[in-house]
Amino acid sequence: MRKLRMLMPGLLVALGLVAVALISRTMATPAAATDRLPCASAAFTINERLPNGARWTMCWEERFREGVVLRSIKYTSPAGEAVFVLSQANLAQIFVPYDPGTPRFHDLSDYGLGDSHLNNMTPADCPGGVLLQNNGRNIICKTIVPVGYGYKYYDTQKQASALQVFSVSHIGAYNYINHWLFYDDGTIEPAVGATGQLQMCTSNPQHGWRIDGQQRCTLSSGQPYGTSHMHNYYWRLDFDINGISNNVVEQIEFSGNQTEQRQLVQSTMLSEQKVQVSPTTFRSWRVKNTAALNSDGHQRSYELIPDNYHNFRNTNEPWTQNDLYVTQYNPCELWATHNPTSGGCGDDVSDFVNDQTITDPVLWYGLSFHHLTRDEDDPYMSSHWNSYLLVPRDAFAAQQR
Amino acid sequence: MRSTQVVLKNVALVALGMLAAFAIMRWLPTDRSAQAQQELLMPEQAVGVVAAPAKGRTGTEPLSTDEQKTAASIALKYLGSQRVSAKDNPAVPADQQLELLFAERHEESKATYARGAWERRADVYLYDYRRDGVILNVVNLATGKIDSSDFARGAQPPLTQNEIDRAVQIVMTHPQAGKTLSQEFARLTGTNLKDASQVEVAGFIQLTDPSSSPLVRAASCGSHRCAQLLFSTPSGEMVSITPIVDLSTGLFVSLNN
Repeated sequence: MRKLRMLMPGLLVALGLVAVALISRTMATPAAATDRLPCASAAFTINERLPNGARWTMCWEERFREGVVLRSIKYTSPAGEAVFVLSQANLAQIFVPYDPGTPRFHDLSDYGLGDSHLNNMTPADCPGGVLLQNNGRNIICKTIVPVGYGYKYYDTQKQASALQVFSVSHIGAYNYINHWLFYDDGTIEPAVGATGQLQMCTSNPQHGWRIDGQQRCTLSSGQPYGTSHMHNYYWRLDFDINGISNNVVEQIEFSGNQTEQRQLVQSTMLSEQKVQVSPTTFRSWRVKNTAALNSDGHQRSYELIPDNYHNFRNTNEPWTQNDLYVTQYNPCELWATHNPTSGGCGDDVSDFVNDQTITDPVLWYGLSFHHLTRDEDDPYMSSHWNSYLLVPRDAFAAQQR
Repeated sequence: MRSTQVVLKNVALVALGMLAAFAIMRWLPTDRSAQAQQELLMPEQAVGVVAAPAKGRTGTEPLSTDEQKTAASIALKYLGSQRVSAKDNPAVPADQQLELLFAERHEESKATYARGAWERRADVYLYDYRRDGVILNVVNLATGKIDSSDFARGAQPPLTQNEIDRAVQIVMTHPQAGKTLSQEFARLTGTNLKDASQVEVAGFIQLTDPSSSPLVRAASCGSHRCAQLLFSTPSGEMVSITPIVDLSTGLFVSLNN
């Protein structure tokens, strides 16, 4: 008895420690509307803690046309401060017109990125990662990848990492990698990788590049040229920074082209708009929550930073006239082209812009790549990447790394 | 017990407690989704692992194969009970007049998602060749009933394998296109094309767009269900034709558009 009493202090401290640990792990924080994930099972939930302590949470869904749709995307900082970013994010068309004028493929709506066109990946496709399956097929690879310096200053440095989420859709002879990087500092990088084999060949040197000796292009007459063509990728981004309310889109650019000085010009998009990229005025756009402030008192926002180096414009195809379309959320506006019109919606994204006041903005962003074929496209094309950035701008009061 | 011994034992107990607390903090997950989370492997692992499949489906999770089958059978049963005055399309086989395209989860509105709970519903798409249009049935999997059934012309969801097979037959039996395809196949493979199963085919929906060729325009692709085919040999040589056929009329449209 006396022995036990003498050990009491140690026992009590030990039990106390265990109790505190248990309580801290089981006490759930109350959930806001955007905190509640619309998925429940591990197979459709992506919830990953990165080495710096940040966390990305989202749901994924396989859909027939869109392939993989991501929903309820939320970033939680290493210190535990959460910012809800997007209610939904997905590819909304891949438009592939060939330089001779035909064919002109609308891959997403007219072929579909999902179902049997989604590659059933093997563990070799996903080094170090986890394959998520739907109906017996491995659709998603998720993994944590190193991305080099998060920052560097004198002898201070931090190696950063990102959550990588991708699927592969087999469209004709092409394989499209629908790829998302979620960085440990809150940045999102949507991307598409184009690989596979060349789809078309021609004997017309105006519309291609000479590619002798390729098994794929064995023409019956004339010399073989790989037909040059465009890949126009469109994303639909339904931003809801810190929730659905109080979201406002702002354009940011700088006046002063051909002069020494540059002046910041910010303009709010009160109604639906279509705009082109403008590399000489550094144009970008951000979605901000006017009621959600970071601890410095600044409005939380995410900025879309474009990266267009080819622009495809065709008068006959109105969706090619601009690079960013800002629209009011409408459930029947699904794809940038060949959109179903039966619900009263327009046929393409340019029709979606019809002066509605914006209270719940959706951003449609298009990124183009003119593929001039080359000898090295045989036997398989090296993955060609296009990407852009969604960067936190005052989403936090300081760097999150 | 000597006092140093007591102190040491107390220290040992505290250490044990710390160890247990650490273990709890490290391994006991904070919430359900984290609990369900699959731990990621180290990047140096050469290959990934396959996560366990979902047991049930809820929320925005895609339809299971069983849910797709159930939804399709409810939709077909409902359509079978409806009287349609339209005659059969003579260009289409009897068993393909009403072609089941696919079933996927019904996309609810954002307002519904914000409420946090909704019933499992499926969109079942069928192509009705008798009337040339898409039937979209919204099937409520919770009640087993049809919530809505709409018919619309002009929308053309992707082709089924049945339809691609039929499009290939239209090309193969067309005098000019069939001859071109056979000649190309023989040139590339050294064997004769006897059966559609010898070629690899991808089939795309073809619509009439502002940039469409006069042939596609004349065939009313879009109002009609048209297919554009891409052929290659089993060893990967491309057949350099991109034929378009009209599945609604069973007619060939163009060879190289």
